[in-house]
Amino acid sequence: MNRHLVIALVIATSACAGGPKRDLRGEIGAKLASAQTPIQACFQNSLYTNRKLRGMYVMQMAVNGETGEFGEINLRRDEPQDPVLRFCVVSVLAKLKLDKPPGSRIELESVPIKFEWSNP
Amino acid sequence: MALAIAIGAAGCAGLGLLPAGKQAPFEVMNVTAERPKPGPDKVILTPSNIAIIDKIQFEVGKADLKPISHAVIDEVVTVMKDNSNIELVQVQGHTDTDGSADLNRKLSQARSESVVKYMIGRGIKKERLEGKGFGPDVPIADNSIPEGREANRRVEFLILKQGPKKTVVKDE
Repeated sequence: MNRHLVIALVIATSACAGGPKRDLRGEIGAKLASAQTPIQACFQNSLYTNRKLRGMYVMQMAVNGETGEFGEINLRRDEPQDPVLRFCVVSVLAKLKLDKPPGSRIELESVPIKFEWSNP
Repeated sequence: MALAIAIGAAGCAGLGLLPAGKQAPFEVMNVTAERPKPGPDKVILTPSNIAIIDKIQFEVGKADLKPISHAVIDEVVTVMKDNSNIELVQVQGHTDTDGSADLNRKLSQARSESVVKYMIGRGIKKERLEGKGFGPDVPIADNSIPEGREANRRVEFLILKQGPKKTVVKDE
């Protein structure tokens, strides 16, 4: 049993050694960073009607293996507690899509976003 | 065996995202925005709209404005009078998803027109206003929770057309 396991791991790792290594974490990080400007717009709009808003989101999401689309977005931590900001940010993130599908589903366990005033 | 191949392949992808519970968090995205000045203002002029702090309230199931909401609309009127470069404002009515979407669209249209009528009565030219009801079609919050539905029932003042800011120069 253990021998089979070792063989399988060797097959899997050697299979990828042939091609260029894909930095999926980097691609996902870049895609998330591309959402910063629209998320900032969400925060600014929400601040107009609730000037006390600030705090941290820790989000959990998944990238679809076949399409590269971001989805299944949940908030593990929601300090601002504002339904409008939450909806806006989730809507922005749900539009993200990797340029190339990753091949298998990827879970992102912790995507932190910190909201702070530029003029405290 | 399949599991082993999957683990190997994930490692191959250079993710470092598995297994669950051991994944490094992504870098914190720092989002900053300008905090509006504190004050008694119920209305804030932004580049794209006239944001209101208070909600505009109507009689239940009707387009009749509640008198309590006159004050906030009066402030919107003042902003429009003070900023004559604002050429066209769309008064938008929105609802949550409770009830029939068609009825909600009609109700939100009637409510937006009710606000427009009030503002015209307060001295804003009708050419500067446009009423439009969207019903439940443009949510800004999750309709599955009460606070989300509350946020979705709203009136917004979107600036559709705006000229350059006019500066008054006084002679000495």
